[in-house]
Amino acid sequence: MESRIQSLFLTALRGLGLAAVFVLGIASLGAVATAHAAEGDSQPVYDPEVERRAIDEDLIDVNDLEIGLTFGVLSIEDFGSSAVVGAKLTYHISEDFFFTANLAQSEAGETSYERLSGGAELLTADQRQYQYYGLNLGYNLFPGEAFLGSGRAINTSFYLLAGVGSTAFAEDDYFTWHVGAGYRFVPLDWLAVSIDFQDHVFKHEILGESLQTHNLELSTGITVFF
Amino acid sequence: MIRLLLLMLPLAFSGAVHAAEPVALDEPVAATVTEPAATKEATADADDDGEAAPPQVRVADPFIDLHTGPGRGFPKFQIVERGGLIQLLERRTDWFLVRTAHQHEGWVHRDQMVRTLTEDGEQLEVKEISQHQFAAREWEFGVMSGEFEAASVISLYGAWAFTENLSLELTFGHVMGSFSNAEYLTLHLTHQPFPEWWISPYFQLGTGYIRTDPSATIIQTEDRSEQLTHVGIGARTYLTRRFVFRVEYNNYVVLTDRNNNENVEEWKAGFSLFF
Repeated sequence: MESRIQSLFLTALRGLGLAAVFVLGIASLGAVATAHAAEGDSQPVYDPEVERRAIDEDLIDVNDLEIGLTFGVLSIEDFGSSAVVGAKLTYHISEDFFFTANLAQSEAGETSYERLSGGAELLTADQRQYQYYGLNLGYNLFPGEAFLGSGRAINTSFYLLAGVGSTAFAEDDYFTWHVGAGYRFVPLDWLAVSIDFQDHVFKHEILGESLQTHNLELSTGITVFF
Repeated sequence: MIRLLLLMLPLAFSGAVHAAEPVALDEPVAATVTEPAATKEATADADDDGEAAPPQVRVADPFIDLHTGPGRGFPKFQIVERGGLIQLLERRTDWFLVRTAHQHEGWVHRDQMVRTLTEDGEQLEVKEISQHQFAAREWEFGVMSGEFEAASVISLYGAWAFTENLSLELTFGHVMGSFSNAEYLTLHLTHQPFPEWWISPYFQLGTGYIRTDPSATIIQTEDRSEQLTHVGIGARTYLTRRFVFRVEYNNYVVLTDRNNNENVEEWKAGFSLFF
């Protein structure tokens, strides 16, 4: 269209020398302006001044960690059952695997020999202190849901645990294998309640001969996600 | 001159017509650009609650699935169709807890989240932890266990990678033997020549201290603390997400004040997490 108009101009102004050059210049300016206006069409006609905000991943809470306390009963082989209190830290690596570190404290009771003989003490009160730490890898074997009545469901998981650690008992440290299983309920997004059953296996010579002991623990853990 | 101007008038008009035409045709464009304004109002409402509003994204797939829990087996109970807005509340492993416009909350997998759009219309970028990130890691923390001469050992370590190949590691070891227990702390330099390999070897060289505590029930000797140096060789392999398996051999020379230095061999394997 422009070229038609240009030729019209050129015809009309033929012979006008400088004036023609001037008009051509203006006409090309007009053409540029037209092209510019056409480009501008892809831009919004009016800017609603939307607050531009890139999604920063750091704005999303990442809750892969769980920390809390455990309470339960520990049966120390030959030394009776006692209360056990501990703390645990869990890192969820993926939806299947997690890593758990736990630390617990208990106190051994008397052996049946000590009770029957009356008086003969095998260990002092300090030596009866029983502490262990465990570094375990967990696997969510059966994730699922538990139903409370007809209107509420709680996410759950039945998991397996295995790992290594150390037990400090009778003034010595023993390398300990931990194996166990547990059931975790997540009643709220940030809260988990679990029931753990674990076997702590270690070898000691406290009673004179080398003995592989199985120390069973049943405990409840209350943890929060953060 | 006036004649010239008069002649140019149609030119000016033709320009104006060109500019005006597409606007008339593209009216729906104007309608869509106003939409984010509504979004902004919603955001502003959330801001009034005092807390920062959770980030929002727009669904770009035909639909996304909301699961009842952060796992692939949990049932899908809702979908959000293309164009729907969702708020991102929380992330757990590869799952995002989202809230829909109808106030339903559910978990969406990362694979579907990466196909959503931000308010700017750009694709949401979600960090995927992969082997590539492992090669570019800065921190690594891990647990290993194995044998320290005839005793069992558990070690915890933290590493700071200051280049792709070199890292500085601090290891704390707990040795549990039949005759004595020991604790050691070593600082060493680790060189990983091929970080991108599937099984990547590394070499280490370091020094530290070991404190030996003979078992009270067997022999009555005092605790002793000695310096040690060590060389080691090992290999790492990337498993999944932030998870790495690692196995290593160390040869320690314990610098004793007795006639001979002690030579100790250690084998161990374990897992580590990197960040």
